[in-house]
Amino acid sequence: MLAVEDLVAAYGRIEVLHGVSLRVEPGEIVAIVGANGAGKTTLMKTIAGVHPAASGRIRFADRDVTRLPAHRRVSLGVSLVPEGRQVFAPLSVADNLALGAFRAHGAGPAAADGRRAMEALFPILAERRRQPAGSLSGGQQQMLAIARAMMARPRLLLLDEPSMGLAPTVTRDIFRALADWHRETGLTVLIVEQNVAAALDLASRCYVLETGRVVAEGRSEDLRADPAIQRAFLGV
Amino acid sequence: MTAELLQFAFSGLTVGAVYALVALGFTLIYNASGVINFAQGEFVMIGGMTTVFLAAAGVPLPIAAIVAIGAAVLIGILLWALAIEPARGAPPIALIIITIGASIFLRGLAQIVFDKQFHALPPITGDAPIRIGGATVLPQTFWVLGGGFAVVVLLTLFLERTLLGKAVLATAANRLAARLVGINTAMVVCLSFAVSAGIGAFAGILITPITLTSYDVGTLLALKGFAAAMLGGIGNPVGAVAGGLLVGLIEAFGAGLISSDYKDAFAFFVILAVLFFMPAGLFGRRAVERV
Repeated sequence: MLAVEDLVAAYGRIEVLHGVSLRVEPGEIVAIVGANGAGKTTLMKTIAGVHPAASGRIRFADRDVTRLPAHRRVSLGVSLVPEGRQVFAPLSVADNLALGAFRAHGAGPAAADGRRAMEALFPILAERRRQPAGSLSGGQQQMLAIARAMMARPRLLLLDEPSMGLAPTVTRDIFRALADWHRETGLTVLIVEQNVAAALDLASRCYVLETGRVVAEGRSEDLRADPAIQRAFLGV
Repeated sequence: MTAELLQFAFSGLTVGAVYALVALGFTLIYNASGVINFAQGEFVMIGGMTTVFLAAAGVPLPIAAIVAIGAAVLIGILLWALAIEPARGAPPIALIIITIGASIFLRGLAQIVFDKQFHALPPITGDAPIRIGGATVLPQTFWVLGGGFAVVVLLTLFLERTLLGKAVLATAANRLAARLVGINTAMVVCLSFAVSAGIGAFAGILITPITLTSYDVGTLLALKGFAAAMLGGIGNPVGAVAGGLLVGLIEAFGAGLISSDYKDAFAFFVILAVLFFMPAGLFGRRAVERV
């Protein structure tokens, strides 16, 4: 479904990704783990189209999307839940959700279905419907950010650090909701996560990114058993 | 004395309504793009001057007004397409300087296309003054106030009731997130230039019967509208309207009670006072954000 080939991305003259390649098959959950500064967020932003690729290719659903603007990628079915949630703080929860379906004309019946499904997945969003998104707690904002991305009915959901700054119990709730949703709908997910144990539990496959390069990849259970991974990420 | 004060209040609110619309134009573009568009006053001039010259050529006034607003919208879009969009990613200060250049260019162009004279338009409903509590008020005053009010209502409905309007608010709130939900933020900026130009031109047409117009009225209007936007808190539409009316009132009372020689100076006192004492303005950013 997604094939990233030899992707290079930079900020000004500083190269951050030095030729990253990865694949995500339909229906998979794939995790990307790595230390701070490994280029995980840049990789996600480049796939979503909000950061330019210097070279390499990004193919989505058998189409080269490397140069496609972000809003066109959303139409094709790529949605990113960005690092730090980035909800529309002054707008209401309901408006945030409606805007999530912007490409599908936010107010139509499909959008209403989508909103009901998201409010069933995260009931707190129904309770807080009229509240400004900025007044929600961090965990609630994260749920809203995920729900907003899902309103676009993505075929590939990109999640960047969904556990950042959240209490462990809240993180667990969010990961459980994601796992439920995946089981029901078979949604394809690519997730970047610092909480490596949680990421390996959720994902079937995993890539390890280190200073802009993929240094290891494999099935989650194999990586969990790998002594180097255990030392570096799992604190064993 | 009270009749006199009432007179000042009416003239202050009238020019204030125009400053409010200019400030609203600043606010729309600033929120969508972070740019302070100093060519905002030129839109007001284009509205007034185009209507004057079309009317002089025999075009019925309502049609002339509509064409003038259309012309201003087109120029607003061209300003975005030819000057702002090609400089995408430049720092805001560079974009602001571009708009100052555009303002000088438009003024020069107006000198050639139109002329350097002052022009008036006939008032919409005659010029027999109405007496209110001892003050004399031109009927056109009510057109200016009513027109300004209508713009504010329509703009509010657009921003808060339509998905496209919410997309504009979303772009202002968080540009990255707006792109990620599939909003074409470049088009939102283009839209903000178009709408601001239309609002400016509309204000220019309404006020011309009272204050006259010429190729260079835009400069002072832009500065006073900017003072109004600063006073209200830049980026806040409610503040822009309140700031506009306040600057108008300060100007009218200042000119009436202190000295009319300083009429144009009061707006600049306002800018200085805001910058020194309350840089966030009267309605500075609401702090409901939690991280």
